[in-house]
Amino acid sequence: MTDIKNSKLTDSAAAGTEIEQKLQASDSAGQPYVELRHINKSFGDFKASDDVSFTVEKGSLVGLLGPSGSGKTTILRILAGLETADSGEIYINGKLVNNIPANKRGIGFVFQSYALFRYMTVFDNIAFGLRTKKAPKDEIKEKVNSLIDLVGLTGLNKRYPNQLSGGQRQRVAFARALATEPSLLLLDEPFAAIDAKVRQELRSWLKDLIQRVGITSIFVTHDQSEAIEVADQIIITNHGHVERSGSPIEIYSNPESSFVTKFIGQPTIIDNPGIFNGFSKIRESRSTAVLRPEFISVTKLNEPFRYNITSETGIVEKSFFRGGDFELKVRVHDQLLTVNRPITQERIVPGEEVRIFIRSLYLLDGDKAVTVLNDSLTAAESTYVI
Amino acid sequence: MNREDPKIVKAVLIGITTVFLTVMLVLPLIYVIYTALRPGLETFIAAVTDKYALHSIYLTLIVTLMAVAVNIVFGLYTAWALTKFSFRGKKFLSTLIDLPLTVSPIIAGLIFVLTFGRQSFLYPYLNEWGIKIIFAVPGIVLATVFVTFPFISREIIPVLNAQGKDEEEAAALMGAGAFQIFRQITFPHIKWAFMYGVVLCSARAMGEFGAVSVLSGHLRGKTNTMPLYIEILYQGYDFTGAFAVSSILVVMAILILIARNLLEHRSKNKFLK
Amino acid sequence: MSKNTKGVIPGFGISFGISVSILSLIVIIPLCSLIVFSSQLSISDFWEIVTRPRVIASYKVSLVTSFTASVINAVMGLIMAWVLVRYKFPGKRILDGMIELPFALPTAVAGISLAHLTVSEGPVGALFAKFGIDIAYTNIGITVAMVFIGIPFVVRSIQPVLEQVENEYEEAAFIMGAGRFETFYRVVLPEIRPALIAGFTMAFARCLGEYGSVVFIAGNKPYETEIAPLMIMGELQEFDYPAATSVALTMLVMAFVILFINAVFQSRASAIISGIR
Repeated sequence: MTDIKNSKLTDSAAAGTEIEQKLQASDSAGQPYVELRHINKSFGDFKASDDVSFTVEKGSLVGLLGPSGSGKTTILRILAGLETADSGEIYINGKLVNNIPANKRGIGFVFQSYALFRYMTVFDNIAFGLRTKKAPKDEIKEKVNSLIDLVGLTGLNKRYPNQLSGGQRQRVAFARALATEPSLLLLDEPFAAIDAKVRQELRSWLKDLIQRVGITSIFVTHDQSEAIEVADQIIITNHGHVERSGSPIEIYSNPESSFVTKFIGQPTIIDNPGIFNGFSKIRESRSTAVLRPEFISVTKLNEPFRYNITSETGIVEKSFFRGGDFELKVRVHDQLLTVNRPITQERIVPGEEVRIFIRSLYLLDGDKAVTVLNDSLTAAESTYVI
Repeated sequence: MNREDPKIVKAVLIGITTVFLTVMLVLPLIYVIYTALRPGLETFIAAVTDKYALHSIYLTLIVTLMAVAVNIVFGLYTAWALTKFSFRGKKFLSTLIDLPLTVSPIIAGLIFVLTFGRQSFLYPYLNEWGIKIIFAVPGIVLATVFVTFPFISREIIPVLNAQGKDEEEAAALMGAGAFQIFRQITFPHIKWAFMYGVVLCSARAMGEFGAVSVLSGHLRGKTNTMPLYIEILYQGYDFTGAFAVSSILVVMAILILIARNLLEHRSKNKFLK
Repeated sequence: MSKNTKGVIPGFGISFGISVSILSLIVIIPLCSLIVFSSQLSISDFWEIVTRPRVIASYKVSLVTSFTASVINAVMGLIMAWVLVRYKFPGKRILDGMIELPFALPTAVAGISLAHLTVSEGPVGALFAKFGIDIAYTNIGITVAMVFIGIPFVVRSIQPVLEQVENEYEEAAFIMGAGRFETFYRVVLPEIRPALIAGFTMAFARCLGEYGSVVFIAGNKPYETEIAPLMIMGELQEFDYPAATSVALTMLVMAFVILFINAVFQSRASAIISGIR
């Protein structure tokens, strides 16, 4: 369902990453700006962080992605100093910050609920941190006003949080977090409290703004399309540990671990992949594999097709209209596969027999996932990336 | 279906409610004022300006002020501790705070007699330092604090629980100290609940009878609060005097009710969407 | 424990310290001294005191009058809560505002006023005296005083719950063919039953311990109109602390049993609502 969007987003994210990486290469000599080493944290019997280690480059925008309960918010709160790790070390800008209290770590934090002070105006909310630091009055006024302009809330200084829309509140929270000029910005599910339509718009706004301000940022999300679209680097967590880390495009095209393969994209899990034409080299009949819609092409029986020998025939069971495409559920070898067919092509209807070609699949082997190509694809074609 | 009951049912139920509340609540109230004023204004004024009456009013004010002050300090700190932090024994602590509500005022008096009275192991020390608690003002204050103990914290805690602690965490991250966070972030949320608690607490403190009568020792003019003084007058068949002093408390009760209703109205409207 | 384990919000030490100190002085130490003092009583003395006929009679008076008053309050409270939530009529806000009067009015004042109204020469007492009914100085009088102090409990615990009962519930029941009374009995009542029970038990516990408003109207005749708190008061005035403590302990046990029964009801109700078995 999300994959058309995804492929588009991946392109733009990839473009962003390239520019970013060039920029970073010039100013930080490969030194990680944030580093977590072997962080452990338990709440009673529940292990929220299990030997978590990762690094974040200066100036990058990192998405901590994982299903709910995977420990991503805990990592963020430990980094901020809102929780204390049971063991492990946290470095920010090369300095061990374990014993530095949260308010001295130079961190801006955007809460999931925004935690705006409901009894203070927009201006007072943003000014709070500066007033606490006893900044001069004129400076506060100038700075807060410029922040209000920056986040596009000009004229709303005197509003109370309850008089703002969800998106406006998020902008206030963002401005408030930036007011004290933190060196690291942490955002907990920044888009969760916003309705779908505004969310899309805010994502690009936030990415754009963070890049303009040039602040190292880490955000938590459970929504893969959000992480893929916004982040330069994604860290995937599961059961309290880091599963995989890399650029969105790396993670999407080469998920490596079994968990990530089943989590990212729009996966269909199939049993006994060896019975599909072109995959007979998979001998183990109890193995499982993951397919994505973009790995499969579907054609009508009367349409010409290049790889006839290694294709399959199946019966279309259901068809869902998704806007740009039809999502088809096709039964092949008694397994239900999900395929997309663009609206511009000739319509395929439920009950119809169709030709299915599986280009590649991820074969799951314990914790690992390996890409297996269809036999028909030549060596030259196997360099194909999704 | 419209939710309205048939007219006749409605009329009967409203009638029952009105009659019941009038007979049970309004009648006793009016009767106090009526009896107090029946013998004439001069008698009334004489009764309430009697030396002992004035002293009982003074003592009631002092006791109420002290009890409310202790409960304000306790209520605010406890609500803060119970809602902004997690620690072991939290449930036990909140059970203990509510305990005084279930204890008879007479038993409340009794436990203080047992703690500070002649048979207590503390008594020799207190005696040595010349501290008199039982049958004296400190005992009355302690007993009053006990019976009004949960009033303020119980009003504040639900409000703070509903508010969560994100705002405080955000403020702390920006470097604010405990008192700054409390004053600027937390207090605006609980302002009305807090004032409501103070009103309830004052009402109960002013009127407490059972616990105070155990601890006062009934020294006329010395440790009589208004309710105790009323008892003495009533038992001495000075009904006019008893009702005259009572009428002051009735007026106070009405003022408290009005304040309560205004506060409830405020807290429902302000910033709640 | 590192200082960071409490999270980032400052002020735990001072707030916890102050709460616990005041709590100790006001609640913990006095309760401990009650326990220490009770442990010095011999079981046989304790049993002898709490089974004296006069003491048993006072329990009976207290329990019977408190229970009757709480039942009256449960019924009246339900009606009043219904009227105040569901109907619109002139003077509603005044009636609603009056409910808390028994909290605000000192119990002694209520006591003398009710007593004076209901003695056989009093304005209300005279009315009933014509039919040969005495109110003051009988168990009826005690019950009246307890009804007075118990009014707010049931009303105030049902009101918010009744406001939450969705119109849809009643509409659904109505569409499925239930009559007006059946709808109330099968749909609305189960919704407010936990609150009704909670209000009833709170009123019951309060009535059982009530002293100020009752002593004036009770007449305090041994074996007939003497309530248990008055027994304790009597023992205290004779400085018989062991006797006072024994009676107090039995009363505390009664109060806790009542509250425990309520807690069982409430947890069963919330288990149904939250779906946890």
